[in-house]
Amino acid sequence: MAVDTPGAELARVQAAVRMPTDPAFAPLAAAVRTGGRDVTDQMIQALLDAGHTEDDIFECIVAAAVGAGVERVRSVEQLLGTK
Amino acid sequence: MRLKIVESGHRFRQKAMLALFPLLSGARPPDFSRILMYRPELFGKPFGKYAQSVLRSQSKYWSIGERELFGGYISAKNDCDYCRDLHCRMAARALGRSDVDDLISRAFTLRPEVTAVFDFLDRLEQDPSSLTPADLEQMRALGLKDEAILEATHAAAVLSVANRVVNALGARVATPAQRERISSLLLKRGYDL
Repeated sequence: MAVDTPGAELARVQAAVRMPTDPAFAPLAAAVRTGGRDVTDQMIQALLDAGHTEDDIFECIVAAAVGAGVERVRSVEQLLGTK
Repeated sequence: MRLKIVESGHRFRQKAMLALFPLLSGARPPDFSRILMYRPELFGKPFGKYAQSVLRSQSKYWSIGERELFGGYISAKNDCDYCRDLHCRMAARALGRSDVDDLISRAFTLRPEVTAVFDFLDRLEQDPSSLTPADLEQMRALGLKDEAILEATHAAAVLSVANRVVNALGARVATPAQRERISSLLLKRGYDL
């Protein structure tokens, strides 16, 4: 598939990821949204100890990161009056 | 990295691609390649196409080197040494500069439009909800069109996403020699997996 416009490609990234619905992921998602530096080994281990899988954690991390990127693009689109 | 599945839990096809990487680049696969190739349909493949569209497609406003520099700048703001170094290396190479480590602080030696965008991206990265129309004035005074501002925003957004994933997963920074080879390869081949 050919590469499309940035806006269309970003929409595809957003459509592909999925945030786990369990509220136990909220602290991890928040730490990722603010830059990811505050994510700790203990945070990850606590989720694993609670029975969540590494796949769940991976999904949370990429979904929260993509959400932060989308938020920034949407803010500028609104400012420019293009959305 | 913090997740074993991202380190070594890839499917056969992606494992084979990772095994080929040293033959193509002379370096071990960077951790971010391992991230992109883990369940690529979920993140790596669509994200690679987005990055390719933003950082490598034709632009009327920004060169490839300038867009890579926006990425390096955002990565510095997010304390992501991994991405900062890689994208500044690509920017320096594309712009014909040798001052990789000082390229961000010496961006004033490039076009004034680049540093005007730096100021805007800085505020955008810190708090997108705080932006007001006044934040556009400096860029518009230099003649930058809205389309150019949006393109720079997308370049920053690619790294806003990548920095967060790299920081959260604890991706390791490669050696300087490996980074040089990886940045050369990325500049040549692009981001589309």
